[in-house]
Amino acid sequence: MLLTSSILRMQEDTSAIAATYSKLRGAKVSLRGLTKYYDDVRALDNATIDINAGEFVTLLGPSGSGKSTALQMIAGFVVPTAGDILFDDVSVVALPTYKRNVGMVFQHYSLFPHMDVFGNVAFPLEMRRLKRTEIQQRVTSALRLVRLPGFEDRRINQLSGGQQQRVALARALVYEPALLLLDEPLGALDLQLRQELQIELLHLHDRLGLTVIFVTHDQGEALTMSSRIVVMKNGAIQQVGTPTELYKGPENRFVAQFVGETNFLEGEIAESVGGRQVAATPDGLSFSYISHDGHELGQSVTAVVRPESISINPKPDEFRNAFEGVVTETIYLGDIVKSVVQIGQETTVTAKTLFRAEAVQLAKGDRVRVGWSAEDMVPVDSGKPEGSGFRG
Amino acid sequence: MLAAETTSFKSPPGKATRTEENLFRWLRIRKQLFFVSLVAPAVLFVVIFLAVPLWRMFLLSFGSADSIAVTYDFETLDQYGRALATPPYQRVILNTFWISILTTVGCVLAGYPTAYVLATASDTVRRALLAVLIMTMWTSILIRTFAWRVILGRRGLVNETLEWIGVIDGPLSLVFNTTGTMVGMIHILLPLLILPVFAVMREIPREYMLAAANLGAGPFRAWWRVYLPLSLPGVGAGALLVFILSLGFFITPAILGGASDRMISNIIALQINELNNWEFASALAFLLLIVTLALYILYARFMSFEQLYRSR
Ligand SMILES: Nc1ncnc2c1ncn2[C@@H]1O[C@H](COP(=O)(O)OP(=O)(O)OP(=O)(O)O)[C@@H](O)[C@H]1O
Ligand SMILES: [Mg+2]
Repeated sequence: MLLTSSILRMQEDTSAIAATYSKLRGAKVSLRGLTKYYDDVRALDNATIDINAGEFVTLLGPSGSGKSTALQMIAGFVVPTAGDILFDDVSVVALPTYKRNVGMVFQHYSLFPHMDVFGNVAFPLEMRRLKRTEIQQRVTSALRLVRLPGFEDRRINQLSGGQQQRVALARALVYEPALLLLDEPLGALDLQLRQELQIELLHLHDRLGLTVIFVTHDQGEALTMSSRIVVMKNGAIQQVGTPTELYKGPENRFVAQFVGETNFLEGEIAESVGGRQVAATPDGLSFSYISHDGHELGQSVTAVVRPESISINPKPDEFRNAFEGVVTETIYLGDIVKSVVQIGQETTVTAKTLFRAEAVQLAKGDRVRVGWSAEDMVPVDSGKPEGSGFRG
Repeated sequence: MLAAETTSFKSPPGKATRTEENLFRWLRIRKQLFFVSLVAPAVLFVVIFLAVPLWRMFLLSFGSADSIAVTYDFETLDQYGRALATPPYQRVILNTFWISILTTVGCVLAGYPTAYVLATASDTVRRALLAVLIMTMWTSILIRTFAWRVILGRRGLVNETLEWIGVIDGPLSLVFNTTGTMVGMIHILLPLLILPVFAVMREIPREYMLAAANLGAGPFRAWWRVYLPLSLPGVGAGALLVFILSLGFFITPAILGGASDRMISNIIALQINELNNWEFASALAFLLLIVTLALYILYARFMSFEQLYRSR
């Protein structure tokens, strides 16, 4: 409810204002083998990505995965160990920060505490030696853009966390950069404010047409906001793709685990027909999945299936993967029910179903059938899974 | 105890009974007594050895010098009038301020960049520099001041080096004049400027300078518009501290200065040691104290400005 109402509010507000704001052409950003070592610590390793003009790309990864390092090199705060950064196919590595014309919002300490809101937003314009009247005008419209009209005279410590980040956003947009970098700008805010600002950011991006690189370690945030996501781990890019691509076709175990919730099944390949393979788990279950790479017979494999792809008590013979099991746990998440079902001695799967009659009646200890189609199951890399088989 | 508990059980929630009130009052008093006993020795010491002599000195400054039995007459401001109206003393007072201002400026110019290096250096470098800084404060001021005589003398290190390089023909007079006084005072007071400035600079998050650069400010403008204003409270505090301490300097001008570099403290010593004029010395000392107190109040204000910046 709250979310939709704020979306509506947003649309009314910004469409009119943004119309007066010039539509920017976003910059194309390319990283070519970008690498940063801090002594022996590999902060970013050989990152190569092409970000299209006007894209909203999220760098997603756990703490220490090199997201900030990448952003800081793009902004020019950190000198790369190796590699190149191109804006619109022109290398910027030799360009000092203050000449790169990139907008940036930090997680903390975004605003100068000794200036008021006007002073902060006017600062980049003063650095560009604009005329006073134009500064005045641009600050006013930037503050309207972030829905803080009339806040010019406020001191920074008189603003809430959300307002501060809005002002920081206004300051980053007021000089119309072609690229906006956001390093967990919503990290310090509570959930509701976060969601509200997520939507505002998306709208601003739509209206202004600039390229945005957004950093987060929150996969939910990444999935809702991005046109593409770059999943990172220990300084290395794991996979680049649209939210759907990452969700449906994770290329490795880490991505499967980090983006969304997943069931892992491990086994040895027993059969390979066309694009479909069958593998057997150590506790004697066979599961089939679609594989396009040539995995060999006898090789061990891990395949993943998303909880919402699993049906409870499906029609007999509806799915290739059909198992019987015992419910060990049911968790109600409002409109969704999560059921943990033990289908083999060492194998459990978690199913997510909509809050419907058959699921509601499930109780611990019930015998059920579960099933999913081979198309909903993809193999990820071989080897041991990290942590438990299921990640919430 | 037990009684209090049982009664409180019966009484409406949130309201203390009489027994409880008495108990809590006693607990509060006991706590206060504890803290009083902690500060008592220091307070007693200050009262006996500072407040009482100060009061005597205050009375003395209103006494008349020519009577044998000293009489205190608060109507008389003779001593103060003499200090403020006699040209030689006026000159000493002005000179005191002038030297203090120069010292403060010198300390700020030399100390600010040092503090910046301290605040931004790596931990190892910072620790080494801080150790050096603090070690200089361990050596007696007297020894350090005499050391400058050797270094700045006609055949001292500086002159010899400059002559050897060929920058100068004859020795410069670097000591027993204002230059010597300044060098000695800046040297001694520099750490007292560096430390507060460093303390404030350390608290300035790196993000501010990054943000300034990101927003298009080159290094100088980023410093001028962001770093300097944020570090200014430290400079204010350090400068006032240095200035206040300079006003009361005695040893350094006496050892390294010339006849015209005498400061108020030197005159006070002269009045007491050689002229035995305690009344006039007291008046001079009191003038110094009043100026110092006024400046201290300013200093306190500056420290609260710093608090203001902290609340982000
Ligand atoms: N200035 C630095 N000096 C030394 N090591 C650093 C420095 N900055 C980052 N690192 C290291 O580089 C790695 C990547 O850090 P980075 O800040 O890019 O991670 P991150 O993905 O932004 O993590 P977080 O989500 O915690 O912000 C980490 O191992 C970190 O310890
Ligand atoms: Mg980070």
